[in-house]
Amino acid sequence: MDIPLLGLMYLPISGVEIMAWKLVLLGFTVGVIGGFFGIGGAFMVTPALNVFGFPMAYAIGTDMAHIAGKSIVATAKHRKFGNVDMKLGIIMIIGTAIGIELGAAFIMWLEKVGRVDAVVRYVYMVLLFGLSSYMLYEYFKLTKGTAGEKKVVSDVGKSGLAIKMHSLKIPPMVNLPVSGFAISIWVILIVAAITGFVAGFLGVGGGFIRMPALIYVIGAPTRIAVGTDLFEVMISGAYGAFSYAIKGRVELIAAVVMLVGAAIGAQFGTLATQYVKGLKIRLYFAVTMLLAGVSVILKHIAGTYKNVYSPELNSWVKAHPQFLEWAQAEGAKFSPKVQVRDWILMNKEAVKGWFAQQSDVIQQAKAMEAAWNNYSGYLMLGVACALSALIIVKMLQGIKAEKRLKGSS
Amino acid sequence: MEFVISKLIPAAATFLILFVGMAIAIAVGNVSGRLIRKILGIGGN
Repeated sequence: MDIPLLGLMYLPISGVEIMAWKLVLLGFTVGVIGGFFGIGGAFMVTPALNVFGFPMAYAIGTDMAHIAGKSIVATAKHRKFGNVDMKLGIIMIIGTAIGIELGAAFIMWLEKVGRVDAVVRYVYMVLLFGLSSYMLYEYFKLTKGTAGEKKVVSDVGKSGLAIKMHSLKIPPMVNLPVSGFAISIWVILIVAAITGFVAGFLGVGGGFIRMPALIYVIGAPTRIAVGTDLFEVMISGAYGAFSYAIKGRVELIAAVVMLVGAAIGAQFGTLATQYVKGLKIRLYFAVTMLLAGVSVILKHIAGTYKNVYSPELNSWVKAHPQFLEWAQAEGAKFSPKVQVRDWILMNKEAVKGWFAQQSDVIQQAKAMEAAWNNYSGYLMLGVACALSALIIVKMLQGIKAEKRLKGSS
Repeated sequence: MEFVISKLIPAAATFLILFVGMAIAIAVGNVSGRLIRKILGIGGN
């Protein structure tokens, strides 16, 4: 049965056909997670869209547009709950912008000197595993009881590093009443610039680095870190969405459909932060990062198969008369690497024909690359569905417990 | 003129669709937020 508005839809920009309910569901799950963790969630949406048949370039652009809209809804909600430290957020944005520019410039330099893709993937893996391991270590350290019983810790705002940062009295000092402490502006700017640099280098929004940095380095309480990070995601997402839209990389209909799901999901995620303990938010976040790291490993395996055929495919494209004509008409809008990638995307039939003429080794490598990319995408899709369900269940349990408490008092 | 047709008009149309999409999302978010709170029986914001 075809459900109106949720049935099969054709997306004219990328030429993809997809069931609309898949986009609504994906938007909803990532909306719950984004509102709960204060992140954009691109590391989940992009591979999932790729699994749904979106070419990677369109998956990133569409994801950016949906993140921008979703974070507006989630930030507004967090602000109502008093979870957004605007002063801290605005200072962070300045440092982040500088950092992102430096990170992007560093990537350009790396592209000139050598193979950048593998380096970026390795850094990404180290960061995801490093961050999740540290957060898991902190969680178990704080909840481990001396007599075998678990301590009840709802939130622990200040790590040892954060206390050291607060003791640095380099003027000008900024008083942050919402977060509940004063800190040197230079500490905020430097932390923001470093996280921005990493985000620019990896080509991601950076919420997954900024949120832990706000907790462990700046010393913000978990809920404030979530709300303030979302405020930043909102600004960077809007900038990214418009930038990708101008380049024609946003599948607008898909982005709007996902946004509707995300707007509802963000309500659940934001509300859940009021009923789930701060320390538990950190635990779920750490596990998510760990699984995201596994997904990057799967993607890396797919990349090794791509390396088998990509040099030959690229040389074939570069020598193709239609490509030469098209690239000349396009001018220097994009780098030659991006032009080759775009041409491959637009000429699927010609590329398919090329693959059909190649050896079994190349054809097998292509099939294996697609399979490993799918494993990675399905893993992230599974994580998004399972995690959002867990967050909603925990929220409902929290509401029930609160009602029971009110009833008994 | 060519610049207006090939660049400015598509960019303006894209912005407009994105803005409309975001406005729809905000409206859906507000309505669903109220509805969720009503269903769950919790007050406040």
